[in-house]
Amino acid sequence: MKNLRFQYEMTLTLDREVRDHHVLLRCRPMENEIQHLTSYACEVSPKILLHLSQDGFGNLGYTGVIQKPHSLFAVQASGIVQKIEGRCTDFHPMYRFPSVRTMLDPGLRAFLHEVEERLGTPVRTFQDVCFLMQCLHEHFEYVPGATTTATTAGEAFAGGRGVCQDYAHIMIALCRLAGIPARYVAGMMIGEGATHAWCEVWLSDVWIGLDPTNNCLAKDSYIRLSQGRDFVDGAVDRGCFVGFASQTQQIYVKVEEIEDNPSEEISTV
Amino acid sequence: MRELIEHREGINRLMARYGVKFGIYKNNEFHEQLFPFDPMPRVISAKEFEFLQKGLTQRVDALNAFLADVYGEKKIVKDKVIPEDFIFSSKGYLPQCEGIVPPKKIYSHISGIDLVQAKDGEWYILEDNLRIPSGASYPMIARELTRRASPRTFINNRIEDNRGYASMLKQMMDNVNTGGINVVLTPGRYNAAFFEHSYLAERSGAILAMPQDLFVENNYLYYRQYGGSPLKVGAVYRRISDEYLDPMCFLPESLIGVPGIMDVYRSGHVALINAPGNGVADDKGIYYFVPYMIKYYLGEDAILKNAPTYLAFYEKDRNFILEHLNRLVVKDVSEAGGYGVIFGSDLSAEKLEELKQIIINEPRRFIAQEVIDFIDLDIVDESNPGDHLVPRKADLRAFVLTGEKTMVWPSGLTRFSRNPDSFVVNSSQGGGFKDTWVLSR
Amino acid sequence: MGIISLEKADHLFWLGRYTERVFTTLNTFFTYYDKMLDIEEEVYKKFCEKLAIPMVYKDKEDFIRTYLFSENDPNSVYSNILRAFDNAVVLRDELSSKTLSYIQMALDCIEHAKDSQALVYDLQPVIDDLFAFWGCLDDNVEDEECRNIIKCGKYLERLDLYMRLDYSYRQIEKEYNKFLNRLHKIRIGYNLSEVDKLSEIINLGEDWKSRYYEAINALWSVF
Repeated sequence: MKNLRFQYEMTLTLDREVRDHHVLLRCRPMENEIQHLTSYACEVSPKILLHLSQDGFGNLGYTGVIQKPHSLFAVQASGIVQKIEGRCTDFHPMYRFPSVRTMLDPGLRAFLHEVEERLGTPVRTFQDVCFLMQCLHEHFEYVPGATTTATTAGEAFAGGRGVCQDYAHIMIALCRLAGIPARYVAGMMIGEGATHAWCEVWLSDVWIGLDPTNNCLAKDSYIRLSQGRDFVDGAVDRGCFVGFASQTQQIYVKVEEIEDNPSEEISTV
Repeated sequence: MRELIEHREGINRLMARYGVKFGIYKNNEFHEQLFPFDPMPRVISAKEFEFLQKGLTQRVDALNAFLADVYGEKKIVKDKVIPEDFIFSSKGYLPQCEGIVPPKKIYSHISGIDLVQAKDGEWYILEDNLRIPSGASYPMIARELTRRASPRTFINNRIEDNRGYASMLKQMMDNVNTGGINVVLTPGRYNAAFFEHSYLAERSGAILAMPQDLFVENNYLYYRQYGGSPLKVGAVYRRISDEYLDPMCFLPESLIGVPGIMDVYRSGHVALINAPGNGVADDKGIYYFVPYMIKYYLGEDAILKNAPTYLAFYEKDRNFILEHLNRLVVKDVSEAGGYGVIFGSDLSAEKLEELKQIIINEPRRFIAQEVIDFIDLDIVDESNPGDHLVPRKADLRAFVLTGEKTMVWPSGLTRFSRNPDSFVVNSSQGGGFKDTWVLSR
Repeated sequence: MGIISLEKADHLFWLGRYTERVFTTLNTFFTYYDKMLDIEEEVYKKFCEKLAIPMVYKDKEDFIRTYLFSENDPNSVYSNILRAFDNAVVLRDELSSKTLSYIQMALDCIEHAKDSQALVYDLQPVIDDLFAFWGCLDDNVEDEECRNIIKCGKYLERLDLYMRLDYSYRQIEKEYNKFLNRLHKIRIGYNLSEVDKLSEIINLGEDWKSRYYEAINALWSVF
């Protein structure tokens, strides 16, 4: 059991004023068998009414509209998450099949084939999947800016470089190709920086978190914000507005472990 | 009948007067065309209609049960009646709709079921359209105008009035309305079916709304009214396809959607007609399984037959397809509107081989069907009018409305190919239409 | 119905303006056309001047064909009936198919008259259809607000055209009063000071012409 204190800050700067700006914020950690939210606060500016809803993937999100013209939107969320021992078993068959960002691709197919040759068996077990993750980690280089949020697993793989989202996409595509259901998870990990993405694979009737970017298991240093078949489903925030403006998004995330468990308190302002 | 033929031109002129048109995009330009109308109706006897009615009601009830199951418990998959592949990797399956229970649990309120009649009199289902089936407005207005042009025909024949479609539509909308007004949501006047959107709104008494007229506030949907406070909307007969419906949920670049409408819908605060996500049940791949659905959900045998269909996904079927490709019609499950349909008999030996290879590589993508030798209907020869009639291939789109119970509209859109050698009847590919008469006795 | 969106209110207003524009300019065209036959061939230049239409026409024949039928001439009768149609076609549920059909027929009539050798004769149905449209509107459209908005657009346009086309003071005053009557009934915001200025000018009687440009400007600034 671990207690993680987190801070999430997002600032959206628009180069021109926009109005009727709809936002969807998935900055409230999910509650499931392995994580529990013990305290939470969220504030947005300009101040608007937020409505909490759940989507088809089980993600919680705040939605709201900023009607007045504005050129800045900021979100600040903070709280404490308790990571607990447990089994995530919310399986859905959609995680077996390729999705928009994880389409089948000859390059990925060849890579899987190569890994299976080195392994001497098809990828089946937990050890096999870990080996696959290691191979990917060695083969792929972490280079920010080499890809965008629209890059598919196949494209990223062909380029050989990318960020956490690409690692996750490629890993998911490879696992599904090997017949192992896999899903995308977005969230935060211990330390300071930006939001993070990893994946989960369905083995022996339980979801197991894997972080291919860091070649490790994604366990109690990770806070889950959202999940889906890939980035498209699981994006941490989404928006649309009326106006012609280009936007710059800045995200700051800080997660640290704390000793004791303070009193429960959940609020949104 | 002779009188009808004489009035062909007159009726078509009246159609022009009322703007009975459909739009098509050619080289990125919008053009509106008159939908060519042939005055010779398709006639269905009372007894035959009773049979069709039973079969269609059964089919649509099963399809609605299937949709509730897919987005709910998924029993049919767990019981291995339908392989997961045909559901969860289908383009029409929308995980965003998981767990949503639509008002009154109805998913397909308006179903357009395409049928053909074979030369031996047997009816076959060609495809189900459970998303935005269009075309009901055409026989409706055609009937109105034909009655004006040729009153005697309606004195001498006992024909079910099909103009009640509007009130069926209204009843259906009222049934699921969660409190508020009914609107027909159109993407705008440059949509292929804009005539229909505006006509159905007028006739059913719903408000024709453009996307910018609607907005979401505090998890309810409102209509922006001029000079007054916003009006709550209880039911939306939306003619915007799923992926464009809500940029916050589906395609973020959609400019014709209503941001947040899916959240309102999920909360049960508005009815969407038809439910988003219905595409999973009218895909050409899932078609194969409809008779199994009927058995599974209703415990009955299908009254109306599917055309004999083979799924390339199953090895046994695939081998059959590869062996008999030259006599089968192959359909790409991801295409619609008459596109992606290939007749094996039209292909050279070389092209046949190419197609076989494509099928082997992507078996999930294709189905193959026996070519049904369906009956021709007579149409007035356009190149040689007068009373000269020529036979053309025609299908029937039946409209089935599910409100408190499921009802079949006693009419339908009969589409025909204007090309003597073609089986393709779609209006987007130059087809014309006829009225469909159901006799009262 | 009685439920109109802001967008539809806008379409209603412009439908009123464009139908009136087609109606009055076409009727005026008929008069000038008659003169052009054998009395004063170049009278079309005066017509254009009065309506502030740029003189882009090569000669009499070019004027007749272009001004009536060209879709590339923004001032043509055809362009104006198309705009009327564009505004009408999105209002089927408000206006009814019946009312809408007269605009459709007027449009179709102009399209079919392109090669006509007897223009006034062949275009007469356009005038008839517009009369029928207005009659049908009064008879069939239940919602008063909806009719008021269309008429507000119609009388604004008519006043503008009558002032430009030298109609008698009596007629201008009459149309002005009709416009004012509708203006007070609708819920669209308008510029009161411009209306006051216009009143002041119209109240000058026959002398209103001394402030012609001011009057036209005030009228255009009402909305």
